[in-house]
Amino acid sequence: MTTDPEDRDNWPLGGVPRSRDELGDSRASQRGILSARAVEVCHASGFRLGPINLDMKRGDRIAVIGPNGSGKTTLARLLAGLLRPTSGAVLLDGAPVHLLSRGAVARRIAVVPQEIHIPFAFTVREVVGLGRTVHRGFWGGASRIDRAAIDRAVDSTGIGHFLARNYQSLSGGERQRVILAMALAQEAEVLLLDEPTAHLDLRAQVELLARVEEHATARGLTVLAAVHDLSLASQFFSRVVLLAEGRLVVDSAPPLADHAELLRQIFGAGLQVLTTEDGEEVVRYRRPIARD
Amino acid sequence: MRVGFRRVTFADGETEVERVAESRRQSTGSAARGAVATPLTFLVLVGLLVLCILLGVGIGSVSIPPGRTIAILASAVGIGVEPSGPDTTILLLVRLPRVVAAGLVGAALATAGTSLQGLLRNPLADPYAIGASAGAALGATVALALGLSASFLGFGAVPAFGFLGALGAVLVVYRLARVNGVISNTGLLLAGFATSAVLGAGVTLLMVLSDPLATRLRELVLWLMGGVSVTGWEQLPTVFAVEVLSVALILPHAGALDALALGEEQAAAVGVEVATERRIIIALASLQTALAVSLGGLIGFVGLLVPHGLRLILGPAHRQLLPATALGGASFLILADLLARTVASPNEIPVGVLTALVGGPVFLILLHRSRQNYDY
Repeated sequence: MTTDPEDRDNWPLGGVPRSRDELGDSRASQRGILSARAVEVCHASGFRLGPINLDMKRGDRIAVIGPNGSGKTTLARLLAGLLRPTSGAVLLDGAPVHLLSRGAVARRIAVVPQEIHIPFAFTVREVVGLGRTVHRGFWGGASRIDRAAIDRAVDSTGIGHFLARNYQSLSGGERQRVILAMALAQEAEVLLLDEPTAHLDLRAQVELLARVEEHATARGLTVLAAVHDLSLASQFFSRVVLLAEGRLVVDSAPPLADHAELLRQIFGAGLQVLTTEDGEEVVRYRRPIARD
Repeated sequence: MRVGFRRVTFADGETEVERVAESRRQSTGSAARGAVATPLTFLVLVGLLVLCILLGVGIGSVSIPPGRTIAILASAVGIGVEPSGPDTTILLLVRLPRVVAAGLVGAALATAGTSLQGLLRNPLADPYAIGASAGAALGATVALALGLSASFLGFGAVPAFGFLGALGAVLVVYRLARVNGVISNTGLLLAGFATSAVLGAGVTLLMVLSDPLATRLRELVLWLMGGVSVTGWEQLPTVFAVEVLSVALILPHAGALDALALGEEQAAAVGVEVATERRIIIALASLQTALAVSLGGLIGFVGLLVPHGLRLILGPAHRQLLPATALGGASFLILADLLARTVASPNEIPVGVLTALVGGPVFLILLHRSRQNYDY
């Protein structure tokens, strides 16, 4: 499934390794809940993503990894229908996501972004309640179903002890748990996370992803997360998608050690995939001390 | 920081005790929150409005005692004996229309401010500060200069042109201030300032160059400084109906306004049709600004002070905030108008000057505080 590391004529500038689709992947024929079909984005700035084919199947927990600017965030936004592809389509159960109403999408897909700043003094409970926006009636009152969904999301994220506090007064880690709770309260079957741990300390990163994993497993959610930390990608996800220069180059289950040589080509020669005694992968980057 | 300890079992089976700290950063603006229940707040707001109306119609160069005021008002709606006399005429045909007009202007400006602040994610987005009022003033002046007197069901050409002016101004400011989907404080205020300046220059130019306006220069200048100089009932029922209707129409969008606090992209992610909501909110806020400007000229900071004050009490959820700001804005401007015509009696201060004297410093304090809280 990996690209031959020796096949790198113009690599890394023009000739990105061939994508798995060009190599013909049998899995592309199976249908996913949410799938990208030959999706491409071209920016005026010269940024290009795709063409990408990706199928998210029910229960998948996919980590999207890749260097800065490889298109992780763009892919997450495309799948959420927040960005329209230049060509190709994102299909939600077969229907192009950009033709569906935002309400119809929000009932199926919830999004956790990197960080959210809220300009007004909403309480934590009110912020979690915003996840119910699409389910509310004409006058916007919270029904018993809404309140139950909010309570479940609060339990899953362990934020019950600061519900009455002002969101603006929270630390980065607390805020991100609240935003996760908001997305969970949406009770969508697909959860898309865009570098949800970007601004968190080490413990908060691990705890947030552990909560996502627990909740996803318990409720059968399909998850895709853009993550920077390769160790976390290997430890918390059942499928890893590697992007390089806007192309999808690997789509496989961990361990990452299987793709160590390709990762080194993409991230740099200092990258090492280590395996701990209990079988978890840790990816580190060696410090260069001299360069030519 | 509040510090505690907890026992954690890890995936490898080990159990350890670890330190947990919870941030206790000082929260701004929610201190009084929850102390007052929402229904009580609304009861107080309605009571306050009634009180302001009674004060507004009772106090003036001819003082009418409260008992007499109530008797006259009651008789006007058909309760009690028919009183007569000069005070009845003053009260029902001079003061009451002015009080109603002031209340409508205040309610319109305050709800327009609340909805624009929600849409633009910025507590400083007052219709006056972002150029909407200047747009409405230019539209209204154009209608006056053209001598348009056509009206449909009492809704005249002046507020209609004002609506177009306000709409244009808000759209221009929105486009200029929004960079990469985010509206910065600096961008919004600079765009608002520049737009106001250009539109204001347009108004001045029209007043000087147009013959029908040049003869009414003093009246127009007083109007632009902000003054509710209504003398009669003619246009008030229509304005009242339009104002009530626009508050009723904006209420179903309260949930969208709440979600917009997350940013436009995340609002879309929770199911808000952002482009549609934006059009509706901008249209209704512009309509309300136009109503306020055609009745009361350029009155600044009402749309800033009232929502800010009520957010401290009720919190930022728009379902409560929008009707509350309508009530609060009405009381606020009735009171401000009362002060404007009594403090320097027999001279009258333009009410816009008064609201700027109070609102300007509050605006600056909010601006200063926003710089500390977030950096864009």
